[in-house]
Amino acid sequence: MIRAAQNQAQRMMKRQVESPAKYRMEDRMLFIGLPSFLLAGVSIFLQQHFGKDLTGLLAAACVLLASSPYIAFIVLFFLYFREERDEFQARMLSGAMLCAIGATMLVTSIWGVMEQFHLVPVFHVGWVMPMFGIFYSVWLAVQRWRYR
Amino acid sequence: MKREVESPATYRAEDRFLFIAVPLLLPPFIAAWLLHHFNVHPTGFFAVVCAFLFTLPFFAGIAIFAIYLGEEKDEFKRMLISRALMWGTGVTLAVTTFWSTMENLSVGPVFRVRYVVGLFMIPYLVALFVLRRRYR
Repeated sequence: MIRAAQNQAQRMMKRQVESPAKYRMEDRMLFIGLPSFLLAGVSIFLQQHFGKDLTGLLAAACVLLASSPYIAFIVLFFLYFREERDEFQARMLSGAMLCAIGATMLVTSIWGVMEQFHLVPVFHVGWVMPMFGIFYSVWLAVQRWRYR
Repeated sequence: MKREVESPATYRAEDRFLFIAVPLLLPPFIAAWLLHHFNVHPTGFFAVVCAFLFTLPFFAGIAIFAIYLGEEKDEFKRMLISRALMWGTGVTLAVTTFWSTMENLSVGPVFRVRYVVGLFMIPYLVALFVLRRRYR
């Protein structure tokens, strides 16, 4: 009986209680972020149905639908940042974000100049967000490891 | 009396801008003038050196800004700047993603990657201005 209670207490201590802002963000991811992928799927269906050369309102609708998951994630993350009350978490995340945007700016400016000299191929602008995401994740991992 | 006393980190950043970043604007201008004057189209290693020269002020600006943020002890100022940076980041990522989808559907022209810094600076400065006005 006592052992069972001890195990239960240990399990409870191990379970990390996150901030309410994080729980809210998880809910939003689940109920807004993930369904937005469906909208992107609708855009792909429309492109396949009407062909690649879309024009007018249909093209605008396809663009909006296809970019909706990215926009949704940016908005959700921004909301999380505003709501997060844990100073340490907020500081760590904003530090990672600042480093990531700095690195992204550096790479894009260097690549831009190199593009002008025809040294490198044209950088598709759609790679800016994944590049930012990579820098952000790496820096966040480094910071978490630093303050573990 | 009206002169606002800034934090030591701000003064140090100003000094760095004045004595490191501003002089670093000269080499790109000289290089651009030389390339234009002698009608040279750099290739190979020379082009890499030229690219490095042209991006030197960006390097310096970003490094000085990062050092400033590291040194700034005023929590309120840090909060204002990091919020403005977040707005800049959010708008930049949203616009680049949207534009790339437009490019994929052949709706808009090609967005050159060198404009990303400019695209970031506009919402950043607007957000900083708005936040400063709000907390005046």
